[in-house]
Formats: sequence, C-alpha cells, structure tokens
Amino acid sequence: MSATEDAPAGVGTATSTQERPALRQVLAPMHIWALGVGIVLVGEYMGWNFAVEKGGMYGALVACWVVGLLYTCIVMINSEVTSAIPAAGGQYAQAKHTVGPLMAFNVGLYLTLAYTMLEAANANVLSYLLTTLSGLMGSDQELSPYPFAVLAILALAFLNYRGVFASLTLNFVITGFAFATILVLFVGLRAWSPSAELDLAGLTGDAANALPYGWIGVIAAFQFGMWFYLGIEGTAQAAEECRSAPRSVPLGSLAGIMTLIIAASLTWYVCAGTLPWHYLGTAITPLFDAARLSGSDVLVVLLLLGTLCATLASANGCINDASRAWFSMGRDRYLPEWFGAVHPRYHTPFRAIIFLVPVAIAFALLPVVLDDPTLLSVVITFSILSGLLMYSFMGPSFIRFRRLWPEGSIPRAYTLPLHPAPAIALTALSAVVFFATFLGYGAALISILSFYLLASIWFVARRYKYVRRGAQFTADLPRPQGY
Amino acid sequence: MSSVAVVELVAWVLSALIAAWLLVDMVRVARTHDEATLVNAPDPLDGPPPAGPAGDATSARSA
Repeated sequence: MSATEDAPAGVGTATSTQERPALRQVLAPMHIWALGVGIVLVGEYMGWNFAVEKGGMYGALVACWVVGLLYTCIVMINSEVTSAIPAAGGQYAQAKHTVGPLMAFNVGLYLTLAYTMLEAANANVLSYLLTTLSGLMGSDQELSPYPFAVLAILALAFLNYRGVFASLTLNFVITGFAFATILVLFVGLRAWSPSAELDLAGLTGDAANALPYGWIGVIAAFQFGMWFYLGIEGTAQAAEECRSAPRSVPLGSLAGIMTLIIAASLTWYVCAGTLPWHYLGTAITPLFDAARLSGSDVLVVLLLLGTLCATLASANGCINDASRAWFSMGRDRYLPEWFGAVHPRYHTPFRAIIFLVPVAIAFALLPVVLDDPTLLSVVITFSILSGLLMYSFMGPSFIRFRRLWPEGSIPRAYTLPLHPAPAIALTALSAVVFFATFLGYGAALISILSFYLLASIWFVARRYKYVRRGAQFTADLPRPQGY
Repeated sequence: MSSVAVVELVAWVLSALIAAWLLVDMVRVARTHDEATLVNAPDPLDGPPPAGPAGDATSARSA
C-alpha cells in the first residue's frame, strides 16, 4: 500500500502536487512495443483482406506498403514529439501544446472513440471466435455472444484498473505469441519453397487476380490497408508511465512498426498464395483459413489461439489508451475533473477506465442485440475514421512543433530525419486515404464529421469556460517566443 | 443443464463479480480520500510553471 493511500479524508484543498498520486513510471521499451503491436496485430488476422476485394491481390500489397509508409511517418513524428512531451494522452497533449484547446479536445475525443470502438469490435469478434471454437470442439449448441463479450471487457478493465505494468506485461506475452504463430504458419507452409503448398504465381500472377479494378481499385484498397497498422500510434499514450520516455517510446514504437511491416508482408504472402482472391476478399479469418488449408491440426490450433490472443491483446491495449486520453482531458478540465483522478494504490486512471466500460459493452453488443451484423462494420468504420482525422492533424502539427522548438533549442532523444518530408508525406497520404474512405463510406464520413462538429460546438459553448487557461502548458519545455 | 449453459452462467457470474468489485473499490476510494488528493491536475497555485525566455504563468495562449 502506498503512503498516499493512508492519507485521511478531509485534507485541505491546498494539497501540493507532491502529495497527489501520479501515474506509476514502470514501463520499458518492451511494454511500448507490446502496446503498439498488441492493438494492431488483430488486423493481420482479420480485416485487411477486404483490401483484396477492393483492389485485388496486388492492390492489397500496394495498400499494405503505401499505408505502411503513412504509419512509419506517424511513428517517427510521434517518437520525436512524445520524447519531448511525455504526457498521458499522447497526441492530445501534443495538440494542446502546438495548436490549442479546441484541436486538443477534438484529438482527445478522436483517441477515446477510436480505441473504445475498436475495443467493442474486438469483444464482439472474441465472442464469435469462442463460438467457432466450441463448434470445432464438437458442441452442437451455439454459444451466446453476450456473456463472453461482457466478460472480456470487464476482465481486461479489471486488469488495467489494477496496474499498467501487469496489463502490458500480459500484452507482451500474448502479442509475442500471436506474432510467433504468423511466423510458424509461414514456416509450416514452407512458403519459401516453390514445390510447397503455396501457389503464388497461380493465384496472383494474372491481371484478373492481381489488379482486377485497375489503379482506382488500388486507391480504394487503402482504407483496408489501414488494418495492418491501425493503432500503432497508441504507443504515445503510455509515455507518462515509462521509466524513461525519451528512450522507451522511440525504441518501442520503431520496433513496433518494423514488426508490423514484417507481419503484414508475411500475412499477405501466405494468404495470397493459399486462398483465391474472391474468397480472400470476403473471408472473416483469412490467416486461420490458410492454416486450415494446410491440413495440419497443429497449425489450425496454433492459428486459432493466435487469433484469440491477438484479439485479447488489442482489446487490452485499447482500454489502456482510451482511458489515458479520457483521463488527460479530465485532468485539464476539458471534461469534468472527476475523470482526472488517479487511484491512490494502483496509480491508474481508475475512473476513466470504469466510465468507458459500459460504453464499450454497449457498442460490442449493439450488432447482436439489433441482430444486424453490418453494425459491426459501422463501429469499426467509426474507429478508423476517428484515427484518420487524427492523422490528418499530425503533419501540420509537427511542422508547427518544429517552428516552436527548432532543432537545438531543446534536447531530443529522437530527431525525425528529412524534415519536413515525412510530415508532408503523412498529410498527402492521409488525404489519399480520406478519398479512398469516401469512396466506400461517404455517408459514414459525413456523419462522423458532423458528430465532431457538434462536439466542438458543445466544447466552445459549454465547456471551455472551465478550462484553466494558464495551466495548459504542462510540458517541461521552455515557452517559445510569443506563446 | 447443458455444458454450454454452465459455461455461459460461469461467464455471467464472473462478469458480475468483477463489475461489483470495480464499483465497490471506486466508491471506497472516493469515501476514504479527499477529492483534491486524487485528481492529478496541474494547479497554477502549486508553484510557478516552467518559464521560458518570453513566457509567464498567465500569458499562455488560449486559442
């Protein structure tokens, strides 16, 4: 029990900062890697393959690498900014310092909703996987999805409530296992051997399979290429809880994006060589299906467990990131200050964690309650679009960051090379992915923009008066000229 | 009762136990600690914020 837990009630309000419980600084680079890769890796197991339906086999591969470039820019920008401003909330704290409160409020909201929706989708998928598992084990009765989706969200929230170290150590183990299963599948199929089970030339070699809809199909595939990497930017959320954020965030994040590019390329290669593109473009669990085609029971079991672990790791990381963003906004009074509380014993943002549990459960069960499976894709689209809105802000924000604190003015643990090329590339690629998303989900895009516009109006009209304007500059940096 | 029904019941019971523990602990913390000691917010009265060459505590832009 910490010393602060024994503080008696009724202590005066002039409590010094030193007496307040703070987030515990216990994380190492491996935890940052586990957080980033853990959230994303489920996208290798499912979801990315819809890019094949839009753009064919090669269209999906181009999307995989071009969107990989977009996320590499994001990770490099995050690494520099977060190592200078290591605060919970990540991009929210960056926006607060480089742009202003309204942008920060929107970014905080993007983060919270993107991760909460992704968590809800993961819980929904988890219940589907358990139903599949019970079927494979010979059960003729169908499992109800309700109890398992609810249990998954509550159990992971409990773990996050009790401490960040345990929850991200678990993420490291299950994410590592899930990544290893992809490698095992590659080895098990002897994917390097022309005489083995893969038929890459036969399945992708002609124009009808490779680029069936031409280059517009490739552009349309970009929105699903995001599945390979969506969420890696969440590593910035844990900066305040690192033992050394300037070391851990760049190391963990850059190792994470390298892991994901390898995993994405292997996944595409294995699936493109085993599954016909018409099937692959609509499959729910493509990697698992590739394992089933191998005829090896060991691979089937491993890939099923890998899918389960990837889904759990993603939901776990999402709870961590969504709660930090919500907590940070509460701490700065962008939301009621009640959410800015830190647990005196576990040193976690406990109220933010609990508040988001019913929200995630509601969105996880909505497709089941209304008996409309397409609502799951709406939930996921909401998450993707929220992430995309945030990416479009990061390029201009980083250019402003460099103007406020030029090279040499502050110590940097990581310096983005070739500035401003990555920021410009990120902005341009975000615009292309926006266009691709508009092609597929135009109505959803307009709806979500309207939602954030209304939220901004609410913030300016009703909430901004509570924000302590003189206390927004919390970074340990010199105030720039004219700030 | 079938095995599927038993597994589902166990999941519901575990969910209820976890939810109850989380709520009880949250209420317990609120009752045993002063709110000012829990909220991890920067307070301008705590001390001067980091000052740069041209800055002061109240001139932060509030765009």
